[in-house]
Amino acid sequence: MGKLSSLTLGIITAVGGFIDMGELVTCSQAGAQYRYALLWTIIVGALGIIVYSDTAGRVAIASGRSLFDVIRERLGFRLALIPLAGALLVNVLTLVIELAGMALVLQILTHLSYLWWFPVVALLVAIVLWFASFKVVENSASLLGLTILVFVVCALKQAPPWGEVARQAILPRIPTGSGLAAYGFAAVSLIGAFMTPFETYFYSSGAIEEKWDGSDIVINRVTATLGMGFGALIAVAMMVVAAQTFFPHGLQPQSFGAIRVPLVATLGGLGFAGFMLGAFFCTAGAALEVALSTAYGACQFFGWDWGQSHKPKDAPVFALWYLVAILIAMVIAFTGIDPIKLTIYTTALAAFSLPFTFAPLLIVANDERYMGEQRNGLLANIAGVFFLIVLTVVTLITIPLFFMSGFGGG
Amino acid sequence: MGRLLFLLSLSLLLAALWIVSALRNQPTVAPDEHAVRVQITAVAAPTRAR
Repeated sequence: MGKLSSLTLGIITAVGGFIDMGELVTCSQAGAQYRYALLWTIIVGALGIIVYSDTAGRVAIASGRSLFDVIRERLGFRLALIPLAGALLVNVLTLVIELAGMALVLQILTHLSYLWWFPVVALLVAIVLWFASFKVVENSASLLGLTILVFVVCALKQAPPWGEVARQAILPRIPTGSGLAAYGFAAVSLIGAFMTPFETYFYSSGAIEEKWDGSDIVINRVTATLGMGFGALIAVAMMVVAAQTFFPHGLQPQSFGAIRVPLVATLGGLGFAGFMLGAFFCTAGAALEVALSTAYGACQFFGWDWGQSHKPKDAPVFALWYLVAILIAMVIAFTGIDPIKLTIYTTALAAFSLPFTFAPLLIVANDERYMGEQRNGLLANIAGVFFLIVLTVVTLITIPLFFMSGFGGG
Repeated sequence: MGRLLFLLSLSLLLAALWIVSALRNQPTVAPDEHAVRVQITAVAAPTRAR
């Protein structure tokens, strides 16, 4: 029964963790601009993150060591600095957009600029990280964020042509008049949003924090598969809702507030409340996870004491890392950069950095010294290498597409 | 003492940056948000009335 409840909670947490500011913005914009023609990216992104989360969890279980610790030892200090630097950069930018997401919800409620709220939500995240246990950090925001399921209710009520939705998820039909470069850049941003590197690092570190052992191999696989899978369904609903409402009018949700309008129009107060709570807690959960992920990566790499199970006075460098990350995020936000544009750029940068995250993971997962019997099998390697090839292509085309699409604007 | 002064100046600088950026960013209902609300509500209203 303990395992079952832990599994259920793990799945719910993974669902909540899958949806954040990146998905809210990119899925809505994709549905509005390309109707169902980008649904395939959800399938690619979800399958990819399932494969790599499962692998990262298995590395943690088999080696009993954190991901960056093993990667640094296996690749050597200098080479392993590349994935670390990439992860830290993407993490800090992701932290800015998640905190901005929380602040933007408060802006809608109070009509005060989100920038007034930014330090408030940043302080809130810092306080939770300082005082709360790993379990609280991992579960509370994700559970509360489940009200984002309102997108699923809305999609069902709108009764889209599901046959067409399923068909386009496999065989996309790009709307006439859409530029191919802009379409490609949107696809890249979506894949970056679904496979953000911090999710893998957080998942793997969580396995160590929760002291997973050999008996948790199945739980690891089921949690990664069902959790990310259900998260992907919510992402599908987000894109479908935007496709049903924005696309026929030729409208594009350029502001955060516009994302909620279809929900309010279809579900009234329930849509409004579900969006506000869901968006706030999903972005809060992601902000907590990405701040922790930053501290995990740096401390695991350099060998400092780490973990939310330690009190800040017992792992001061770990606490310092997440506090500094929050501080840097505040400085970036205070430059006044548009949070929606920053979300698009950050997800594209995340997509660009993905091979640097997942190639070392695959190398470690194939090393018998760390993995023993849990070493990658044929199927895991085929899946891992396939997605690595996909992500390498994504990396190679991201920058050209960025310029060809007019800086991602289409 | 030096460290305290450094932290104090840093905090003041950050606070100044915060206030300036927040004052320059007055939230308004973005045009697209307004257009979306009008058009979608017009479409959704008959459905809800049913």
